[in-house]
Amino acid sequence: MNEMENRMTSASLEENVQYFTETFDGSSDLVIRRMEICGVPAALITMEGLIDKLTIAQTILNPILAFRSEVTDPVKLFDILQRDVLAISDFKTVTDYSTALNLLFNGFALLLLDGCIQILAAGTQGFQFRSISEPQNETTQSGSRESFVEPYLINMGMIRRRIRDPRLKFERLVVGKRSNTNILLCYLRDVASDELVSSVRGKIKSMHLDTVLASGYLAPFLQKSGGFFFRSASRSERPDTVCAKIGEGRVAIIVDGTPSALIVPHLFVENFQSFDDYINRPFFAFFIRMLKYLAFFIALFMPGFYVATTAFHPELLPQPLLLKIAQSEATTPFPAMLEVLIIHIIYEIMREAGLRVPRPLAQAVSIVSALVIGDTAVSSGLIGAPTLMVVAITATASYVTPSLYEPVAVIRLIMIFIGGWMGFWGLMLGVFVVLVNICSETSYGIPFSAPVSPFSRQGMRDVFWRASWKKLGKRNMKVQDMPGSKLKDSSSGR
Amino acid sequence: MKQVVNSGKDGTSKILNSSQVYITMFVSQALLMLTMNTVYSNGARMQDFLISVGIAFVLNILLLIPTAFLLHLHPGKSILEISRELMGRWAVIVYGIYLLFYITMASYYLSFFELFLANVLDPKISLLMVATAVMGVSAYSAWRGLEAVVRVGEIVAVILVLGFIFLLTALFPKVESIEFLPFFENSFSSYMTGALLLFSRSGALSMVGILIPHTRGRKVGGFLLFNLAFYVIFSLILIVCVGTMGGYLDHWLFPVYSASAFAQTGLLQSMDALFVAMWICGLMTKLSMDLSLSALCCRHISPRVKKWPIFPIAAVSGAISLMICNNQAVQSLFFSLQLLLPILVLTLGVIPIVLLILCLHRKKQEVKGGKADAG
Repeated sequence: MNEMENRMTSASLEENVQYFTETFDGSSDLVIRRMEICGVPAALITMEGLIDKLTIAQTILNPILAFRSEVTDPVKLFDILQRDVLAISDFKTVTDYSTALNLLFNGFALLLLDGCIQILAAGTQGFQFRSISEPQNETTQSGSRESFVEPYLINMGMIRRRIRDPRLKFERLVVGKRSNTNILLCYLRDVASDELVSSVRGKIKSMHLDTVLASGYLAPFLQKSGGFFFRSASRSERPDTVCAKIGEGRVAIIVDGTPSALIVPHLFVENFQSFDDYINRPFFAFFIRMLKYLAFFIALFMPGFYVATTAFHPELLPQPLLLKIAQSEATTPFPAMLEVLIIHIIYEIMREAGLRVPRPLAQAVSIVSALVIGDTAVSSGLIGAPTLMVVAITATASYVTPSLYEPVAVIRLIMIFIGGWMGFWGLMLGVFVVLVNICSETSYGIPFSAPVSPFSRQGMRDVFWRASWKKLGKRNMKVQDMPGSKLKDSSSGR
Repeated sequence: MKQVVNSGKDGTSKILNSSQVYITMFVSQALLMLTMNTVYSNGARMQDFLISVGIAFVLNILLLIPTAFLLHLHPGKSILEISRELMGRWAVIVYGIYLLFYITMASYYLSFFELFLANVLDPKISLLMVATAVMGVSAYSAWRGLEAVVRVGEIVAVILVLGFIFLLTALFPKVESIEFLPFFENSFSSYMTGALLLFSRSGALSMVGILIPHTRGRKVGGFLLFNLAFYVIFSLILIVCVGTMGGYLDHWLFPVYSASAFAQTGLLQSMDALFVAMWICGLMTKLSMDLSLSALCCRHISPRVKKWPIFPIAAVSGAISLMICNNQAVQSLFFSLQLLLPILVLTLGVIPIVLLILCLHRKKQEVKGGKADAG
C-alpha cells in the first residue's frame, strides 16, 4: 500500500468501485454490496473476515434501509447519513484511496455515494481471536492471570485499564511494505524521555521490511546485535509488567499479531526481576533474587568449572568428593570435557524436540529422553553419574532466568570447551569476556550494566535487594536517571 | 557527578566519574598485593614490606605533586593535551614515552602471570598460548572502550575486595604472634628497596594525569581515599600472611598464593582458585586499561588513527612478556629496579616537572609581554 500513490477519491461511484475492484484484482475477500439510498446509487465495501456482520447489519444496513428522505443531493445526503442515520460511534471521512485502504484492512466498512467525493469509513471491526488467557512463560503466584493476546487493540485496552492516565499515549505506526502491520508505541508522556521516544520511533520508521509478522521482526532494529551476547530489548506477555516498565519511563512496543510487548531500554539486572518480587515481602524477594543470580552463575559456569576442575585442578575439591568423581570417571570412555559436551548437546536436542514435537508425541519423547540420558547412559558406563548431575543442575538452573536462556546456552558450551582446553585460568578469561560484554553495551544511551556499574545507590534499591514499597514509592526512579545515562530527562517539558 | 570525557583524541564522548577511575586504579594496584615477593628486595623480609608500603604510599603522593600542580594550572586538560599545548609538535616525545611506559608495564605484569602459570599451575603450559589468550581478551576489552574498562573495573574491585575479605577471614584463625619478628633488624636500605619495588610497579598512577582531568567528582579526596584503601588492605594482607606462615614466605616467588593455598576453608580444599580468579580479573582490567591508554597516546600522535593500534600494541606487549619469561637477563631487568623505576619516574615525575617549568616560563613571558604592552 505504501507504494500506491496517494490518489484522491473520485465523485463517481463507478470510478471508486472500479479502483477497489482493480486494486484487489477480484480477490474473494473483498465484498462490495451495491444499493440505493434515497435514489442515490451507493456501495458498501468490506473485507471478509475482518468485520462483524451483525454490527454492519445493525448499525449501517438496517438504519439505511429504514431511512426515507426527499434529499437527493449526494453531499447533503452524506452529511445526514453520518449525522442522523448511522448508528455508529467510530467513523471517519476519507478523501484518499490510501487511507481508505488502510481503514478497510483494519476492519472498517466503506460507504460510498455516487456524486460525493468523501467516503464514510465506519468502525465495524470483528474477527475471531484467542480469548485472554493465563501467561504461559511468566507465571506468578499472586499476580494477574491476564496475558496479552494477538489483536493489538485488545492489548491496548489491557494497558489502558491499568494506567488510567491521559498522559499515557499510544502512538500507532504502520510497518511492513506489504503486511502493513499495526504497531503501537506506548509511553507516559510526562515520564518517558523525548529522546528515547523519538529514537524508538525513528528506528521503527527507518525499517525497510516487506512483512512484519511478529515482534521478533522488529527486535533486531530496536537493539544492538553485533558482538553483543544479551538482549537490550526485553519482552513481556504480562500487561502488569509492561505497565510497570512504562511507569519507569520505558517505551513498550505492541505489534499486531504478537501476544507480547517489546520494552526498551532493557538493562541486565531486569532479567532477575519478576512481578512476584513486588508482591512478596522484601526479605523473600531478596532471597529469590539471590537464588536467581546464583542460578545464572551455575547455568553459565558450572559445567565449565567442573570440566576445568576434574581435568586440571582436582586439588580444589575435597578428597571424598574427588574420589567419588574419579571412581565414576574411571569407568567412562570419554574425557570429562567430551562427556559434558555430549550430554549438553543431547539435552539441547531433546529440549528443542520437546518444543517442536506434536503434543500427542510429547510424552513418548520425554520418556525416551529420560531413559536415554537419565538411566541408560549411566548404567551402560558411557557417562559418569556426577557429570549427569552437573548437567541436570545446570539445565534446571538455566530456566530460573528464562530471558537469559539463549545467551546462557551458547556461552555455556564455549565455557565447557575453554575449561577443558585451558583449565581454570582460561575459564576466568571467559568470565572476563562476558563481564566486558555486559559492561560495554548501552541500551538507548543507558549502560546495560547500570546501576551496578556505573554504581548508583538509589538505583540499587531494586537490584539485589528489593526495597519496601514505602521507599520505592517515595520517588519513582526513571530509567533515564540511571547512572551513566546519556538520555536527557526531557519528558517534563511536554 | 557525571561529565563527558573531553577526549578529542579519544574520538568518543564518554561519561566518566573520578570514583570509577580511582576504583580502576585500585584494581590495577591490587595486583601488587597479589604479586609481591622478596625477590630483588635487597634482603628485606615479607614483614618488612609493612614499612615499605608506608614509604611507597608517601612516594606515590610526592610523585604526583608536580602532576597535581600542572593539572591545577590547566583545568580540564590531560597531560597529553597539556604537552601538545606547551611543546607543539615536540609533544610526540611525551606521547612516545607514555606509550613505552604502558607497553613496559603491561609486559611486566603479563610476564609475572605467565611465570606463575608455568611455575605453579601447569609446568607444561604453552606460554605463547597464555600470552595470546590474555592479550587477545585484553585487546577485546580495550576495543570496547575506556568506559567499558572502568565499568568492568568497578565490578572487579568488588570481586577483589570480597576475595581479600574471604582470604583474610580464612587465614586469620591461623595467625600466630610468634611468626612476627622485631622490625628494623635490617638496614634501612632494604626497606627503601622494598618501597621502591612497590613504587616502581605503580603504573596505575598515570591515570591521574590522563583520565582524572576529564572526570567529575572529588579528585583529591578520591586519590587520598584510593591510596589509603590500598595501604590498609595491603597492610592487612601482609599482617595475615606473615602471621600465618612467617619467614617461610620469604622463600616463595608467590607468597600470597602460598598463603591462600594454605588456607583451608569448608568445601574447598584451598583457596588458590580464588587467588587465581582475583589475579586474572585484576590483570585483565590492568592490561585493558594499559592498552586503551596506549591507543589514546597513538591517537594523540596521529589523530587519524582510531582503535587499531590496540592490536599491534597487545602483540608487542605479549612478545616482550615471552622474552621476559624466557631470558634471565631480560627478566632481571624488568623485575628489579633497573627499568621500571627510571621509566616510572621519567613518565610520572620528570615529564610533569618539565611541563610545569615550561608552563611557568610561558606564564612569566606572558606577564612580561603584558607589561611591555602596557608600557
